[in-house]
Amino acid sequence: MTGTEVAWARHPNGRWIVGDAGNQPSVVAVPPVLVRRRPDVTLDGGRVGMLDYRAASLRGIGHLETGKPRQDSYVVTVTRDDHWLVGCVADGVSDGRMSHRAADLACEKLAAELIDGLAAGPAADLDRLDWAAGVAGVNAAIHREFLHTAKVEEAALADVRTLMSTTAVAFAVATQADADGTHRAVIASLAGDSAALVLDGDGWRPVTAVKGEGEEVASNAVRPLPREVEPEPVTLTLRPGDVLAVITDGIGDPLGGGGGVVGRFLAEQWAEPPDTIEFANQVGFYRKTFMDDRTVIAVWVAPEPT
Amino acid sequence: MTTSATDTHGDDRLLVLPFYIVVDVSLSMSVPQGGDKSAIQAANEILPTVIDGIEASPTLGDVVRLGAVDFSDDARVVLRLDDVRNVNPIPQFTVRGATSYAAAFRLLRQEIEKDYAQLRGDNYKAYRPAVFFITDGEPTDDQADIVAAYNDLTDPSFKLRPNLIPFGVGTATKDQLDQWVYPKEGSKKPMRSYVMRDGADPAKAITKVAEILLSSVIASAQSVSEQGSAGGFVLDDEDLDSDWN
Repeated sequence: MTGTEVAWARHPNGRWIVGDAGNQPSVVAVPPVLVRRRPDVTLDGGRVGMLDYRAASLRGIGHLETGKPRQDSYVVTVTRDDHWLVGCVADGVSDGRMSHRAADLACEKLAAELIDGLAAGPAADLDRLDWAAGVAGVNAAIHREFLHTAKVEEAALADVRTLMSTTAVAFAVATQADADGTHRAVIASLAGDSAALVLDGDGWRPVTAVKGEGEEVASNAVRPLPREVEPEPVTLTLRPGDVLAVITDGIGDPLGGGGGVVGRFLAEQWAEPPDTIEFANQVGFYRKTFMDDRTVIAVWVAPEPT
Repeated sequence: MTTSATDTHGDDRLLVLPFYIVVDVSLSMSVPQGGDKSAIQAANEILPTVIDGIEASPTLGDVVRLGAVDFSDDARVVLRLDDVRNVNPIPQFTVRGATSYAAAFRLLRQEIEKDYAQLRGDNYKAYRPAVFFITDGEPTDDQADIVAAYNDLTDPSFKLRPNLIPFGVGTATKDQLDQWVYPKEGSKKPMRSYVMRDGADPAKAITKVAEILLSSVIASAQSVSEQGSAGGFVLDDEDLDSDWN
């Protein structure tokens, strides 16, 4: 990094500023209207096998300012035999008043489906996971809650989406290395633009498509769940020292492909697994114009012993 | 806080949402129609109202950029696209001469290209702009000339083609103004025109334009903050009253 000025610093209130904070530090948080018992921040961290993981979901500056709940959600957990770390991040679509619940349900259902699909432990075949069943489970769960909430007998998925819809990225990583020292992993982006990237010695490398990359003018639309989709899972292997980050677009938009200042900031902060509470602070950096909810599950593969 | 010398990477770009106000400053705009105020006096309250509204929120100004153009025989830049927190003093619209829509459309295309080049240079990723076009009708230029200038401004190959929302006061009719809407009915996110109800006071009606503009600014900024680059311009006229059709 010689010749590069450091473009991040702490605000006096303790938050990180990456580049220009704009006027974000002056935002006063307003409680979410009509949504009780939904934390502004959720946070997890731990170690299983050769993996360390940290997960944080933060209510965005925009939602803090306007009194809307956090619509992002995640689940991170392990299979019964501890051989697989399983997770999902989801971004409830802002238009739907109940989209935060859609995001919760998508994560719960997909994590449960992965846990079942990986029951064979080390012998599980990542290419034979039943993603279609996972999607069907998510669609059914959201549909069911819609009927209950809206007090109606039936509803088309398109109608359900007006009240509750979400993106989702689900993944699994082997907690133990194969004989060649690598860890098997699978990631599926099921709807919309949530994404996954890997950080290694060469920097960030997107695993799923990066939203809006190469576009001169901003904008495009998501195709959220519930919906009939054919997932296109990506299998990959992680090497010792790699970091996998599974994210919603609240972090994906400022990060882009990881080649900019946000990518450098996070690469430096995440060279090693940080303290779990500090991890939330790293995800919650101020950066002008980026005000969405942010959710990251980051997974560190233990480096080879030296 | 210093900005890194390498802070020009595509991944570093900040989001920005440009709005242009375009005001007809033909002489007829200066004649009061029933009320105490003339249309141009009312038009001069739009910028202060919208700027006050943007400044009332801590983060709206971070993402919104506002520009203003007037047109008569020719078109002129009244306010170069900018962060409203930099605007001091707020410029005024003053009347002169005739009514050339073609001049307005041509200048808009030119300014949008110039402004977006500047935004790119300043490391912003901008959404397509929204143009609020206020006129009392009766363009004095040749219809074919206006159509050519409009087609050039809204050419599908022009990536920065604006959302165009005409507001008609005075003698402007719906049929006349619908021609200058973009995108038109039938497209994915169509815009619309607004025409003042018969007998309403143009000055009062124009006051409403400021409200629609401000609520659209807020709705659009919210869509950006919640959906990042999937968001964009949202026309919000929920509070529209019976002065407009």
